[in-house]
Amino acid sequence: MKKATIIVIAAIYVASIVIVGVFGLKALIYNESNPITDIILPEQIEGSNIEPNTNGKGYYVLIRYREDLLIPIEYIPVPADSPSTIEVTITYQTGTEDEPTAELQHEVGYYLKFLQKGTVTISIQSTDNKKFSKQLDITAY
Amino acid sequence: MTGIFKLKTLVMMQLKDKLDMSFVRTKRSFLFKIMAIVAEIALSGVAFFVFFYLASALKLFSFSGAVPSSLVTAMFTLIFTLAIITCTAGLTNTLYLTADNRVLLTLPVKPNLVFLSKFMLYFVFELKKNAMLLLPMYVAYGIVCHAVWYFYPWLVVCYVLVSLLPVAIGAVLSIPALFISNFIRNYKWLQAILAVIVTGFVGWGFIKLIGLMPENMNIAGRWGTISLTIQQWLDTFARWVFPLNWINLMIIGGTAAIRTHLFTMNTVWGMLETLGTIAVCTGLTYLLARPLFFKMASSQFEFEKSHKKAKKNKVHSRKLAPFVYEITRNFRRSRFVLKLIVSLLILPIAIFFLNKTYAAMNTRLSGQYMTVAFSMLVSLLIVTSDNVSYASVYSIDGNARPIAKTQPIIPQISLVSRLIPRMVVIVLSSAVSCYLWQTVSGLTTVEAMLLALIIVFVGFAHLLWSAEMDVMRPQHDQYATLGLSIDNPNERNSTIIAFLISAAFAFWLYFIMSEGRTMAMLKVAGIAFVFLALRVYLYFARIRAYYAEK
Repeated sequence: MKKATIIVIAAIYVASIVIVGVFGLKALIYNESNPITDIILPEQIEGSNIEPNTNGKGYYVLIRYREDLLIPIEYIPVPADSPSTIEVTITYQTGTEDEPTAELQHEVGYYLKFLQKGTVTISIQSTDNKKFSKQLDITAY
Repeated sequence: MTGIFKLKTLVMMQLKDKLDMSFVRTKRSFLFKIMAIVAEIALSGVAFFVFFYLASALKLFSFSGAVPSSLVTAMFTLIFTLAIITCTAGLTNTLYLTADNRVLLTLPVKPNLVFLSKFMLYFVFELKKNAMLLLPMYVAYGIVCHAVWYFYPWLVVCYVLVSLLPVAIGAVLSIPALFISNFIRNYKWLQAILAVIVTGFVGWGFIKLIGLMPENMNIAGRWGTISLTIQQWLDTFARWVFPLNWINLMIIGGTAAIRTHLFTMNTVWGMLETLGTIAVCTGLTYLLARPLFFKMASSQFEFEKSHKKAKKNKVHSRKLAPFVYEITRNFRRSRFVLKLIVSLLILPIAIFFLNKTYAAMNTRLSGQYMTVAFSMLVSLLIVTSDNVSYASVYSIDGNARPIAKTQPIIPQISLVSRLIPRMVVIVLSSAVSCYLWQTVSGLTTVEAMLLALIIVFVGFAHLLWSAEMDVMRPQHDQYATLGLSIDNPNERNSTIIAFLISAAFAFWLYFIMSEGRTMAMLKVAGIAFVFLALRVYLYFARIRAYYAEK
């Protein structure tokens, strides 16, 4: 088979799935609501374990400080399904405005860049009606 | 310096032999070629950039929108594995089996330089291939992830090292590959068993894989779970292929490290692994592959000589002899066997996947008709397009073509015998496809059989039509003078006919299905049979006329 023939058949193949998907499906009313009931944090960040706080509120992790310390903020919403509910907002509390401990970067993922030693509290909150949230204290020492 | 100059000359000589270097003759064609290469690299980079950008924007591989390094490890593993396979196969051939070794060793250069030039040749091929794939992939990843500036010069260093790795590994693997391929080549029965096993295993693997697709495939609604599964699989995969993960982390540092400091302990481990592998493989190649290369180059003819006893010729009947001849001739060529395997597998896999996808959709009645019609369209397109090469089935013999007329047998038998292997493939692949089609759709056994008959009838009819075109308007003169790369008008017409009749049968089936599905299939099968009968009549009538006239 020539390349052009293969490409045309492949295009027809894909188009057939799209056409059936667009014109051949049963009409259904879609009204599914799936609020977030939990947010799972990773077990480790930069090789340091995330532990629950002794007061029962949130979690903490201790990381050795170095220049340009960049911490990726990862999470898994539960249930993970339904794209409308997996959105979260991430806020953080840091040192003073003039001398912040860290800054939150949101370019291709969430990253916390430490500017100096200190503790930063991260709050991950769902954007649905339930407003479920989880807190994590990250200390660079 | 003289050694390097001689090595360069040797590599250039072999490159000219393997690549089309005609563009260097004029400045204009050279500039065009350079621009074309740059455009190709840029296009590849744009494709990777779009992929990584969408992966981040749509949060495909991480809920936070990050593009994890494990994704790049998976892509790197795929490219690297393919590179090792091609390098092993290529070096086995170029080091031990090509005839030019004997000529190259007579040149006024040290034999070691000839040996080294073979590696340099494949190193150049790897550099070229990676410039189109690995380099644009990592540059795109760096741009999307906001990499530090020194990532890009570091990437050039890694690009050279990583291109050398598959060549070094391939050179070592070429030694067992040579012995395995020679062993297999000596035993026809082993080749046949391997071909059957590979066909069965690949087919079974694809069917099992497609079978894993969920019944209710609501990708949008269940994307979170799917994304999570992919993320976990990528992490597990990166752990499995840890040596390749180290090399990938040597290049990019890590998901976060690429945008801050790049160099971590992973860089050290990755670099040690890369340099260590290159050193060990090069040492092994020098100690083991080099002596074998000289031995093979000096005694190639003796090595290839078969020690098998000659079989006594069997005398077949006049009618059977052309069929035995065609089967023996075809199955001697590994290219034919490979094509046969692909032809056997492609239709069942394509139809099973298509219908498994349809089965996961909640279709209404007209949607179900569409699924049957589109499956029929795709089946007919695959079968008839595969028949197109039969529009040159007799002309391809070149100057030997007219000799067929002098054979003391009825021409119809000799001509039809060429089509028998293809007919067997059409019947087998159609039967398996329709069986698989039935397992995932609401078709009854009778309907599946009718659909298989439609594919077989139309496939046979188109095959005979294509072959007939070659009988009536032979192109053997062109094949005799220009070789295989000609623009054959018969093949062009056969392709157009393939698309037209496939569309006609599929759409007609769709439009009459409202009368009742089984009845519609019965009608179409009937017309397909009439169409086949007509083509059979015309094929034989025209052969009779052609051979009687000339």
